[in-house]
Amino acid sequence: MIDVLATTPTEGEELNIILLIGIAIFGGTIGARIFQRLRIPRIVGYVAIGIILGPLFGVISERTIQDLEPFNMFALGIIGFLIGGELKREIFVKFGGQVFSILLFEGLAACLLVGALSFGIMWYFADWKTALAVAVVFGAICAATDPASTMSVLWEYKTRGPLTSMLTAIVALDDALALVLYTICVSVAGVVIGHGEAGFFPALLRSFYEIAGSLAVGVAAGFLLNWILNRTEEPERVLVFSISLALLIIGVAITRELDVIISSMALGVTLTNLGSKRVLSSFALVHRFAAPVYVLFFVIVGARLNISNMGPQVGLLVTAYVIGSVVGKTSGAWWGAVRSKSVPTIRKYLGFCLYQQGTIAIALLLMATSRFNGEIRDTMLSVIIAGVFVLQLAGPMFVKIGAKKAGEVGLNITEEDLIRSYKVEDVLDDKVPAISAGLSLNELIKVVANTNSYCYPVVDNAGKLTGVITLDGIMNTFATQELNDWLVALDIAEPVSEKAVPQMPLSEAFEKAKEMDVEFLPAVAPDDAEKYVGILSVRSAHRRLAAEVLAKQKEADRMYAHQVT
Amino acid sequence: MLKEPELANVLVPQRVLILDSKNKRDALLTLINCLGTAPEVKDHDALAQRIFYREELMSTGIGMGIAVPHVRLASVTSPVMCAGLCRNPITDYQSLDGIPIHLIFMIAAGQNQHEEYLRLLSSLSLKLKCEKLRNSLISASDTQTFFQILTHQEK
Repeated sequence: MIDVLATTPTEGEELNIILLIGIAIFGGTIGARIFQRLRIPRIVGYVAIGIILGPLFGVISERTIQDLEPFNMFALGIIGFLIGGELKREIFVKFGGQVFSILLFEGLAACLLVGALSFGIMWYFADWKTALAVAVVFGAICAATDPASTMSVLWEYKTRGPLTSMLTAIVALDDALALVLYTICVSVAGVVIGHGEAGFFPALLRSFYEIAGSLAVGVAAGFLLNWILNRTEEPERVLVFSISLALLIIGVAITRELDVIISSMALGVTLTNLGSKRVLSSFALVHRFAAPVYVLFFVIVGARLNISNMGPQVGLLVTAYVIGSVVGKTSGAWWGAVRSKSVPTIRKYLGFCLYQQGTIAIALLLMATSRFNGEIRDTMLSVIIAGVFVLQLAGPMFVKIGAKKAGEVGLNITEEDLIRSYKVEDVLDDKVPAISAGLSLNELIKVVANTNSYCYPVVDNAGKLTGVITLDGIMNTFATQELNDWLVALDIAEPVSEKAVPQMPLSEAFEKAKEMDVEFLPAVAPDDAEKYVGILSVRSAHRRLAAEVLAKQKEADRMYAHQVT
Repeated sequence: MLKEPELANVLVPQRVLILDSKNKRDALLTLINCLGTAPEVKDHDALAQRIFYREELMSTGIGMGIAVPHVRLASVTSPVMCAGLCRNPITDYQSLDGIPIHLIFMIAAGQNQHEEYLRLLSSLSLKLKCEKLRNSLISASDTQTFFQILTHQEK
């Protein structure tokens, strides 16, 4: 889709680019953290830092952006692969008709509305031919919803449910729809204006080649990757094979002038629908690997947004573009959802989640502007860049609101997510009674019989923690019952090797327990390292977290159950 | 399954004492000083502190004129024992059945030698249930005889 600029930087510039990548990723991550504190999706932070580093302070120059174009392609490919990974057969079985109905309605409604508004405005300032050219290009480009930022928000907020599935399917296919609309519209516009290079039907044929070719390459690579991963054990090698296949696909797509996102998405879809559990681990590995790639990608998106040099008609056109996209997508998605009898959450909130536009729109714009010259070209560039700027900043927040209103936020959590976000106090058992060091074994057995714990703290007369007794320790005394009358808790207590405090991150406590090879950690007060406050049982904590994850999944599944098919 | 511990492995004749102590504290101190010289015990003070702390929690006078003060300590490398024959029965030991103490067996084990420690205690207590053996030990003329009587059946 985009020409990869084969610039050969000198040694000094190469160093400079690495420094800039470092600044961009570091700055983007800091920006994301600040925005996250303000409860704004991370991606807005990346883009904002991109704007600061690019148009505002000029740290990232046009040249740098061009030099990083191959990297952008790589990021798009990875994003495509991960989106494809989300598209399991079941989504299409469950939502099939609905997806296409909603996709067509939201895409066409936005296209027609933006086209009509743009045509009206441009006709006032220029001749009808120019107005038509601008209108069809804007209409086609606005249909594209940015899958990368959409998915970034969905992943960040761990969403799960019918809205998430539908949104994933829509943004995955939106690229193809936008490409078809773009090809048709731009060919029409080119013919009308007189800049058409090949004519309408050759352009349409070219579009068909691009989509079909991308799908064929992606599916073939998917089969190959599945075959390889089925014979690969180590996670590192799974990651290396997945990334290298994705790179190959991206390279082939660029060389054969195919669509990078569609081909890598086809790779992801094929793999996710063929693969065994081990093969599917590839997506999690790539997802983890992709974090800095995302940051840089979105910082560059921000750096590219140059909103200076705007004339009066540009302001009006930007307003029309933004309003047309928002109203068109909201009403179109609603209409499509009603017609296809989707669940209320999809009807009500899907439209809100489709506003953001990003790289696809910019890529289509770059392709479009290569066909036009002079004022039309500048107008198109200014309007789309400004429109995308507004929608890209506002869109992710609407995705968050939509997902939240639909009740799908946090339903896709894993045990690891909970461990990362929880503290010891969240799973601490503070009901386990403290055992006095002098309690006889007979008495101790009675306490154990009446309580439900695998581990008991032993405290001295001053209430200080002196050891722990585990069920294993008590079981050892079953063979020596003649000692029960004169052994006390202290005699069978194990020393406390590590302690936890309630405010400690759960991951840190688990790490400690693993290092010490113990199942339990007694927790003590933060201000008194010997005052017992509860027992952290690794096993019980995992059970509790698993139950929580299961409850969230059940909640999401209940939403699916209400889905009208 | 762990092998039943042999007393001869944890006790040597040199750590059998004839005690003239008149009270529990003196008797325990004498035995602590003796056990503290065993190569397995690396920290004499920790042994003393823990033995007395354990007595505070509950008397180790288990009845039938026998006391088994016992501790587990990080500074002990393997189970070890010393024995005391009280020529003057100790009346302030506060044993479970109130009978004055004639025989004291002090045991120390490593902190993580839980099972060996319990088996040693169990083995000793089962052995001492035999009244004949108890009487033989109480009437032993010297430490060598005491040691031989205690470990005789094992050999």
